[in-house]
Amino acid sequence: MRDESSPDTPNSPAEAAAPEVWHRVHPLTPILESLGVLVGIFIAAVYGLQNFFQSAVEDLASGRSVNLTFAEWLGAHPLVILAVVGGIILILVLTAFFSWLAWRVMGYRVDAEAIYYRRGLLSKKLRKARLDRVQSIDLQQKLLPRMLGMGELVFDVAGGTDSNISLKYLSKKRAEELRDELLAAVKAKKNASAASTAAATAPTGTAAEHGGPEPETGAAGEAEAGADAAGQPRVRAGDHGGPGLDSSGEQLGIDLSVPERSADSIGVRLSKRLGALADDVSQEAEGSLNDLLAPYHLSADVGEEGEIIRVPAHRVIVSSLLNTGTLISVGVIVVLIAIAVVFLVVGIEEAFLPILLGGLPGIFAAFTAFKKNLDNANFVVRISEDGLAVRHGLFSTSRKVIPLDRLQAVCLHQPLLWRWAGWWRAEYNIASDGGKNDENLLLPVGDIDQALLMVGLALPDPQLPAGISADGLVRSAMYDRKSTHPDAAAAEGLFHAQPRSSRVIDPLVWKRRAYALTDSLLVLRLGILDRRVDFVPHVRVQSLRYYQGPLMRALNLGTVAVHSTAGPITPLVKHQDADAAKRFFTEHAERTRIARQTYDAAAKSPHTDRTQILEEDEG
Amino acid sequence: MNRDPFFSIGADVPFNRVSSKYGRKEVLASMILVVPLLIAALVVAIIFTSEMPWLHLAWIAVAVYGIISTIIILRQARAIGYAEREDDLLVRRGIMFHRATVVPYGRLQFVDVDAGPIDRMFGLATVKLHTASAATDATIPGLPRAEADRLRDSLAGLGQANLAGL
Repeated sequence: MRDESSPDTPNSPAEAAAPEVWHRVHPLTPILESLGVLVGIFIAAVYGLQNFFQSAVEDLASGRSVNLTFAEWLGAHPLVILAVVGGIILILVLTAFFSWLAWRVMGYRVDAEAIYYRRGLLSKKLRKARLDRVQSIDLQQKLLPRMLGMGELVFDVAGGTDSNISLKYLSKKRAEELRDELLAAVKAKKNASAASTAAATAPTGTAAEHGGPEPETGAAGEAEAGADAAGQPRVRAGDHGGPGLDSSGEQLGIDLSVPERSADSIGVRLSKRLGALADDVSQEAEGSLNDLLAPYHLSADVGEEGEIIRVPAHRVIVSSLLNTGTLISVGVIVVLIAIAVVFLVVGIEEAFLPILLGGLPGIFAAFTAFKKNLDNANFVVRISEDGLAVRHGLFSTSRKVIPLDRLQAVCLHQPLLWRWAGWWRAEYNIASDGGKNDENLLLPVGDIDQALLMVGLALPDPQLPAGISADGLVRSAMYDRKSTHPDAAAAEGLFHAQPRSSRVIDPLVWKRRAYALTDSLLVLRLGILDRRVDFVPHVRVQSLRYYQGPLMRALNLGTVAVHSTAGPITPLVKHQDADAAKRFFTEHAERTRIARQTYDAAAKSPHTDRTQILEEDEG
Repeated sequence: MNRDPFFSIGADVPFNRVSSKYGRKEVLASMILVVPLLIAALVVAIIFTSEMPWLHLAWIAVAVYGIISTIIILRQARAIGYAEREDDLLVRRGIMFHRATVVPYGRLQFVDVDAGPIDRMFGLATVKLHTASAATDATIPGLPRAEADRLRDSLAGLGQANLAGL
């Protein structure tokens, strides 16, 4: 829905270079935005009336006549009603007027360099996102805008915590058009700058790639870059960038200028292959996918538009009901109702209502948790050359791209009650400053094949010794010795279990907890009730820490923490034999160093490949 | 003293100790709390000595705590060691609780040098290493100011030379 002020909406941002062509957003925007306030007022009113109704209900229940003095008083003073109604109308009119005024100043503008978004009647706000700093453009549709066929475009910019620019609201069609246009522009922009950076600093490949901030002054450099990029002084490294890293080498999706490396996660390699292929990817994608995932013995179907995983809503609902927390709160509520009924039957009627009301917070809590899980319903993953594109949500749809090249660690998790269904959840750590508002979900719930597929895509090729397959290893890590997979027994040999002395500290888990090393991965098997498997690629390890307290020393145990970035995974090689732990600490430092060197060398070395790929990109 | 009563890790790397002033500085810092407490307990005990003679136990307890914590702090200070290895920095500390952290130079994001007021009285500084992981807790306290600056510059240089992709 283009608005009348700019009938000549340009079709590409490059054409929009004509200055000061501001496009308006959808006229309903101010109302949709102030809806929260309206709902707040409504809730306050309801809360105010609640007392009245409660006493009325109590009066009714106890058989007394309802106390209507207030209503009688109102009847005697009709002017009061008139004033109240008039006031409400006045407020509505004023709201509409100011909404209109606010709408008139809201707008966005795109030129060859950046996208601008302005708003604000009294305090004017102008935000600017440079196209070459845009990480991703998401089309978000919250419930109400969605009902009205509108959506917002969220521009994720490498900058401060609230450096996201959210352009709202546009009609869905217009939003999609704009997103596609801008994505193309961003990509072109980045390819161009990558080409020039590569040309300028080709010998120091890593520096070009990662912005190469000098460690000591990295923060300052980032501050300038961030302020410059997002038009604001906050310092942060963007949702997808590590703190102080990646300030100038931002990429949308996966950097295709770096050749495929064996330590890249399989998904990244797949994307790189897809990037080199023609547009008609579906067939090829399936071939490449199954080719790369061969160690997992999977045969994945690539559906329409590269769709590889679809989690139906009912599975998400069942899985969230199978949560111990949910079950406990349901149990508590049932017990409360039972008690209330018993009281009623016995004849203590006064206790009936309070007990039921006492259960209300529980119901609310359970419902909130449940609703949060519903957000993951219809979880659809598509493989594209940008990485894994995810779409989820039952009432409101959100999309995002999982930047596979920035995943730092992956875990599989199986809550106790999911066992009978054989379901697993997959999560990841990413190089970012916490990702607090994001759930780091790779897969909300899925069967073992889906779990293997997602984990396989997110991790590099495990590079196992002959005779052990990757799925054997993962299954053995998932189900420990109970796995019936033919390779699991062989893979079990890779696992280093905890020594017997640790049973004093870990009476239950000591038999299950173990770690395994492959040439590219550290695999941790954890959790006896809630099963869990952590995977940390060697190239992603930050630092290591050895720890031994007095009790552990008495038992001759040691723990090594493998530091990953913030996220749901904190890998710990826990309670191993002290000497083995020390050896692991020393050797793993060496192992990860070699892995890093090979990884970075692979990015630099084949110069011809690099330029060749760049040319292909441009051509 | 050459006796190294502390745990060994990382093959046979020679560890650098932190400044001998660091132990004294930590003791002074802990005395800021202990001494007023001791004086207060002592005064109260002397005033009420006839009514409640057991109050003397309180200041004795504080004094014993002060002495024990002083010994522990001094030993802990001696146990801190760091080694600049070829590719990473190894930091070791703790007598009861053994902790060792290894930070590869290629993973360094930035290096902080902090010096609080008491630190400055002793001419000391703390070097803190930051990686992309919040869990990295590599801190070397009690370095002489010059050594801290040298270490920071050296680490920054090594970090830049080895910078690895995330």
